[in-house]
Amino acid sequence: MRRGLLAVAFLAATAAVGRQPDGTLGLVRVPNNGVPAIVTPGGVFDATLTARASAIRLVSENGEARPALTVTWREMPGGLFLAHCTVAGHAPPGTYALEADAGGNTDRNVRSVYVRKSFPEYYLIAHLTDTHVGSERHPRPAADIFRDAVEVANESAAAFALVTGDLTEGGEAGQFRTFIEILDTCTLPTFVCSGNHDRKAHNYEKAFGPDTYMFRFGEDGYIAFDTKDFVVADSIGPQDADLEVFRRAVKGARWAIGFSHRYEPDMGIRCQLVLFVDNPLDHFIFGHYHRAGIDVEVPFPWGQTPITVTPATVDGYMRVIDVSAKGVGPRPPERVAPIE
Amino acid sequence: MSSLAALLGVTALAADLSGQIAYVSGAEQEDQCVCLMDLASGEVTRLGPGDRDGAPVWSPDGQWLAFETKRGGGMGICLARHDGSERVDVPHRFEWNRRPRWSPAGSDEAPGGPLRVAYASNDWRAFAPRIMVYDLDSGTETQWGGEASSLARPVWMPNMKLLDALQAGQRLLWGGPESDLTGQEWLEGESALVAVFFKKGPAGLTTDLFLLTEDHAVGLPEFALPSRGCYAEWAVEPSPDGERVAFESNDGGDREIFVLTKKGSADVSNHRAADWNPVWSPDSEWIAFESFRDGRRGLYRVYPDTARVLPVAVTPDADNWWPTWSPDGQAMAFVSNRSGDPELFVADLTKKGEDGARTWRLTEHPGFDYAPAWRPEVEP
Repeated sequence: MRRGLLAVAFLAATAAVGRQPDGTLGLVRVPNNGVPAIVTPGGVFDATLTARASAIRLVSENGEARPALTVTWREMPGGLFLAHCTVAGHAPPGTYALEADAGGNTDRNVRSVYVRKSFPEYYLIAHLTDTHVGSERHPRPAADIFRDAVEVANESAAAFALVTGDLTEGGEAGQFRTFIEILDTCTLPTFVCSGNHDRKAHNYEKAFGPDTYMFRFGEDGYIAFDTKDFVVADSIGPQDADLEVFRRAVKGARWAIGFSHRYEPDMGIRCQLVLFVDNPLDHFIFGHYHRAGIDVEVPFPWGQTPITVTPATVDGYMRVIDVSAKGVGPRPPERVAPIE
Repeated sequence: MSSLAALLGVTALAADLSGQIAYVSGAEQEDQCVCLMDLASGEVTRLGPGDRDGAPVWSPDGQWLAFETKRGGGMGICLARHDGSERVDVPHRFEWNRRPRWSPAGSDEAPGGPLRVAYASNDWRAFAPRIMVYDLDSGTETQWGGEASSLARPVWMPNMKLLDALQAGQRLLWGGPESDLTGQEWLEGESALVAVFFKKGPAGLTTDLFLLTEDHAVGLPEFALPSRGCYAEWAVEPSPDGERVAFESNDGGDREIFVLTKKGSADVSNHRAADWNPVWSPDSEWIAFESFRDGRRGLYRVYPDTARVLPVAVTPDADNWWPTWSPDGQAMAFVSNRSGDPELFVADLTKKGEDGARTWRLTEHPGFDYAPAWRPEVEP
């Protein structure tokens, strides 16, 4: 009987498809391997789907653990469905794929849900940025440099990694596929956001979903936002409201930490008022500038939010950031991969 | 419906709507274009160059639109006639030019005056935008506020009524205590701008409201602001009759809408959630604004004399923003992402709907439609 159940489980696992053949997201939009959920047993997370699934479940990497999810559904604007998921109290810690069935198909987002025993008071973040997959700016391919940096991040004992934009050189769908393939060699949860080089035919959104999102890690709140172009960051579009709602949602957090690709003083002023004036973030992490020391040389104009600007991974760099009750403490950037 | 209207996804309109609405439409920033929709027929005309066109604003006589658009490595101000017959690319001294606003020329208050556009202009090497004014008749660009920089979001005072009233009460110290500049010298210019000044303080950047003439720039005196202290003002909007100025400030702990009269400033939107982006009704009686008081960003209007707030468009899982009043003040167009992508809607303020006023959807388009601007009433 047990063997029969295992066989059914194996068949179900093999019938499931991951992303679409072109690398874009399918039925399950969020969480995914660029915007995962991190929970403790009994914890909750929200999933966004393009249809109301007949079944939704967690499956561990080896397919053996399938802790139950209790789900309540809500229809959202734009034909999306929000599944509010409660993880079973006995769920073993580990890395899970989120699987959902609809219309006779199964969609599977690998590395999209992480169950932790608990959230630590002190932890590390691995910060990678400007991976520029597809770039030929150095003798070594950018993809190889990124792969090396991911290996170092895997050894860093970080709780998760942030990859803050310019993931690709030209925003091509093929470059995103390569980026995702390397991202999936990371053993940490990986949170990404888009950069100015990623803007092409909404390929970023097709690969990872919304540019602007928030997540909680224990007592801390994180907000990812889009500074890929000033028109987007300006008040014409929907982002300002998301930022206000997210900033309010993490107002009671121990630390409210923002991460994005870039910062320029005259990007959308409303966005800056929300994040740096009315309820100033406790820390702001970004990349874009490719060189070390800019966060020391150029004080952040609004004054109340310390910044960390990490040099580009395509140039061989990453950085480890300490987060504790004392605050957010960036270590010096490390050279982790040769570029020649 | 024209084939272009079908392409741009304009939906069937409410039978009693009339007039024209300019707005931005496009799936990608690179094809965002200023368009003009005729509300009676649904016909849509493309007016902009169509490369990152920004929010359009109407000249007071309804003949011209001004908007920012991509030019070279920066943004330039484009002026386009409503019928597409003429387009002017304003020649700029600096590369980055944002947020144009028309002078009140051609209005009852300034008949026959020069038609001018004010905007913020920056050279990109450092964040120190100046306020520039382009004169459509002479084709010249002039810096306003003397040599003052770090200014943004300029708006013309429709007339000098409020400044005259403040001056008569000797409540304005023009140029500060050390200045020998008198109010009379200011008022001789007959037109003024109000703008936001980015001020560097010991604790970092903050913002103040400034008045500008061509040669001078001075901060609003303390009495005009809600209270003493280091607060950040933004989104300043004079009423069309020129007797009041609405603005937002984080004075009081969160962002509120304040109204400045000759007696001083008062909070008219008071709520613990953020209130943003005041927009006066054409008769200067009401202010539309965006607020998070019901969760997501909703549209409301307030009668500033009594601070009575009424909902216009509020939806639980979606946002409603960027209100523009119809010329008769009976309707409001706005943007909502209640159907997924941002699309244009109209609220009839004379009819009650589920969550505020009764609303219609104007556009249905796979890309974005936003930043509507209702054309002012045009003299036949």
